[in-house]
Amino acid sequence: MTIPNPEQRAPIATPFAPPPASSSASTSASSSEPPPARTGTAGLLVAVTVGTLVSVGLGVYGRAHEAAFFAVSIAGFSSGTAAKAWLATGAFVLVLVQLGSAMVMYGRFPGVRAPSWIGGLHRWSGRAAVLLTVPVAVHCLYALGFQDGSPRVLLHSLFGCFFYGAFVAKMLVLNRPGSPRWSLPVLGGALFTALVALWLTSSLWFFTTSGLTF
Amino acid sequence: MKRYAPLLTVASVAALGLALLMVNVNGDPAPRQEVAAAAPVADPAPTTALAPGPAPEPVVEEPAVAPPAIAEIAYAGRSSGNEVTVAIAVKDGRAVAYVCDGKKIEAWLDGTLEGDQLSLQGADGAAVTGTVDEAKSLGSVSVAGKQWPYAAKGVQAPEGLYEGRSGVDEVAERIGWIVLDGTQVGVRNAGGNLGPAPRLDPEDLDGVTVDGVRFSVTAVTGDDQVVGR
Repeated sequence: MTIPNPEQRAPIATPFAPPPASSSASTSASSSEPPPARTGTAGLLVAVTVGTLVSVGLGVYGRAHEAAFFAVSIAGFSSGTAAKAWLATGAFVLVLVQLGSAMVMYGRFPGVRAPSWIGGLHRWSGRAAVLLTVPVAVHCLYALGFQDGSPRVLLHSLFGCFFYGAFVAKMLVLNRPGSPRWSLPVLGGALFTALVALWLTSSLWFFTTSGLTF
Repeated sequence: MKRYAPLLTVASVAALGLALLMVNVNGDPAPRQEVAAAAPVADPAPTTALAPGPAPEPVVEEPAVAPPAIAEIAYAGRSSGNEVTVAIAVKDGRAVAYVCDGKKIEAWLDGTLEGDQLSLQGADGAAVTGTVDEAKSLGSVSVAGKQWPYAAKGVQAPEGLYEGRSGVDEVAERIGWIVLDGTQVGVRNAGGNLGPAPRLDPEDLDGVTVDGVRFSVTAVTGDDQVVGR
């Protein structure tokens, strides 16, 4: 992985703590609300537009691409499906960490003060989660494509495309410090919802039909 | 640096995704040999081989690729000892075929019809070579390391070749059926596990479900893509 480690600057306590709140308030001279709001809204619009394009692009690729019915599978698992189910389960666990750490950062647990490492935990567990989903998504898109044969499959296809669009949008918003305060929780919540739905419609379905196989 | 960390995350995810996609594309079991380029693009008109009377186009005897003797037809038949059933569909110089024993052996193939010469290939050395006319196709079929002569006759729906696909599980499920003389033979491939196909009603291709899983079933024609890539 080539991600440089931004957490090396650990001394800053909770660098992203409630990111929009602290950064916009401190950088933009306290009270002047309109200017940051406007630029932030523009940034949010750009982010959501790009995210939408990503989602639609994935869906179009999945639909137009002739399902190959073959894909390189991952060593160590009995089948490609088992590998996918477990990778997705790993991402599912990490996304629970995401939810918990985000709630701590936003002070949703009364009496719990955000420790200094919570931002790093949130960022790195999120990166790990999304990287775990990539092999699964590539297999889905390449070998199976966008399918609508049953409600479960249709939901899974829709959420799969939505997930990466929401992911790109959230990363772009993070890149724009002046975004509206609600944008990160909303996008994060969308990501959480999408990943949980993806996990329920694939891994849980697989485990209930095939058993807990590796 | 911190400002660009989210972008780097996106870039890493995109790079990993693209790399995996490339591995898949390059690792495909049957690399696409441009059939479209090999197929005769010109002359889609049905040129029946047995057209009587003065040859309509007397010369041009040596085009690099002979025009297909038959524009569109389907054949179904068996190997000499009834080891495998063979179905071939031809359309505009392209040909696809399915060979199976109804139990454990199957192969999907594609290739070309040049003049009256069929030549198709599939994964793991599967091949069909033969000649065609309006009534029959004769030749040899190689599958699972064995080779047999085959004889197949021209058939009309509901006889012929059917393919069912389901994208739900893993590498998906796929079923091939050959309907011939009121009987049918097929193999169901569930992510590499081969077994006999369930019964297909060729008159009703909508709403085929197998073990609660919906399959989309089509009658295969010669220009369908049946070999994965």
